[in-house]
Amino acid sequence: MSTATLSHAHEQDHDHVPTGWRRWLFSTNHKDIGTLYLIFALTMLFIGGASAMLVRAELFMPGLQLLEPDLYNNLVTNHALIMIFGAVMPAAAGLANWMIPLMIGAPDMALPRMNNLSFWILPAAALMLMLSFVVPFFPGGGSQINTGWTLYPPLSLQVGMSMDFLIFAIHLLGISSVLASINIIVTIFNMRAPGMSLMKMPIFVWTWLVTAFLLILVVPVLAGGVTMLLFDRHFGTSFFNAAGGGDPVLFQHLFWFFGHPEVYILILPSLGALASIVPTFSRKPLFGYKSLVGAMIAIATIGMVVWAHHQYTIGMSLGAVKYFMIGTIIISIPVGLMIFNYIATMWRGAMTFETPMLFAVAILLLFTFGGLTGVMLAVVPADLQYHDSMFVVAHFHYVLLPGAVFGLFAAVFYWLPKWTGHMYDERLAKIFFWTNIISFNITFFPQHFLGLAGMPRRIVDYNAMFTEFNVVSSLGAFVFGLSHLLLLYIVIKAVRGGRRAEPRVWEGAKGLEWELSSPPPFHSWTAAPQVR
Amino acid sequence: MATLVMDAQLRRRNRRAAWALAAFVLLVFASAVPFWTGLFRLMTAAGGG
Repeated sequence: MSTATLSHAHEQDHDHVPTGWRRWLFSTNHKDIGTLYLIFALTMLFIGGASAMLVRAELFMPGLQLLEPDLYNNLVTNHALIMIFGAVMPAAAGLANWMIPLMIGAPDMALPRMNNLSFWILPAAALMLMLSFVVPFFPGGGSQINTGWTLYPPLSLQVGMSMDFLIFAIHLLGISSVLASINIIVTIFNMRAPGMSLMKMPIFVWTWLVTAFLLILVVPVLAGGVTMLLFDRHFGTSFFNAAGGGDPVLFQHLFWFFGHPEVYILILPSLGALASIVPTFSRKPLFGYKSLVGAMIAIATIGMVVWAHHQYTIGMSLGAVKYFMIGTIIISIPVGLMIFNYIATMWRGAMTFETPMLFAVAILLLFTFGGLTGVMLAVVPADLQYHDSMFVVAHFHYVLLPGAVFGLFAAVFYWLPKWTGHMYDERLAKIFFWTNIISFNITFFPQHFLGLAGMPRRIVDYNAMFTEFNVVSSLGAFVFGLSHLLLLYIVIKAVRGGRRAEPRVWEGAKGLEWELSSPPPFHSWTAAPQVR
Repeated sequence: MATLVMDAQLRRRNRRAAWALAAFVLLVFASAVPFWTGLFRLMTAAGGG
């Protein structure tokens, strides 16, 4: 890791600082745009969370309680798309905007105006996305989107005009992601402070470099896939229409070529943040920096060539099935290496358990558990039994909530004092952590048993034999969902005031971002630090 | 103390790199459709799907 010397030239805000709505609408400042991303993500977290609560309310008891089957499927689709594209990806982009220039000693992102554009496309895309869910409720609006986030044809060819809104929303979201990724790559390659070689960069920056490359490789393929879908719907082509000589399975390949690396896109930045958090609260240097970089690159590379493990049931040739199974299982090696590196960093460290570290420890335990059920699902004969059951729902929530969302929470608590200049309320944050983690397990752990017992997913009703575990799961979900109001309160409280944060907020923290004041000046590094 | 100023030269470098990446993205987008259709035909011909 790097150390730095610097003058205090950067402390002086020599330029005009914009105020009012213009500051946000026309912003080219990486910190302001980072804040916009984070506020947007938090808003979408609540919208996506509300749809999940409705889904769990419906599943509280067998039979139809609150939702018609089509609306249920609409909400399931809505929840997934909003959480993935609206909450987690923008939150990770917010962290990138805030932290990458601070961590590499850059004055701002390389392309500040493009940075503004990539954020402001998002609200338009979100509007289009949400319109796709409400359009069917208007006269002539057609049927509701009941495909799930995978948008498989032939169902997606039969849905009404709401699918067109969704396709355009995906195009816009894709453009935003690609622009942000290009900006991040150029910033990392061209804007590092003198002496900051690639192998001196913080792991968080590395994870974003790898993630940005993943994004520019796979998002255009998704864009191609949904464009083909659009053509099949309106322009007489038959890429996926069996009646015209096409094949719906082709779409599954296109979708999962994007969809599987998307998992790594969601989790890598969060796991990268742990590489800052774990050494800080263990008061030890990070164990195995080079191997972590290698593991990340390996995860991204292998993760791009194992997509069809989501499609075992379509009837692939035995050779293809074997390849995808073995490839998928091999990914557990670099992922395990990352986990062991973090454990080794903690080993014999002078550990303290502030909220970011509590989340880090929870992530290592729960994400590993999600990874283990992932290995079960990678094994073809087993997967044929688990496929499309609640077991899969439990598995990917154990991967994505700890791997992505809890990592984001850990990062927010870790850097919040740096961003706001105030310490957050540690007591409330710990209450939030325990409520969040316990209710998360109550929600999703029983779903493993439901799936193994044969409860299918994406179905509004279920057999009465599944009632008990569903009641437990729904009660957990309500507490889990409501606990996020406490997060909102803690963040607002820290923004409004609290104990002043030192430049180096945490005793064991290392890295350039801690050399700046808390909060950092409007223009971060007006004189670049010399990294040794 | 080294300085990293956003001067005209650095801006040009940044823009060049961004355009190169954008061209790559367009190439991936344009080649996605024929590539995947071809690969899929190959897989189905080999007995897969």
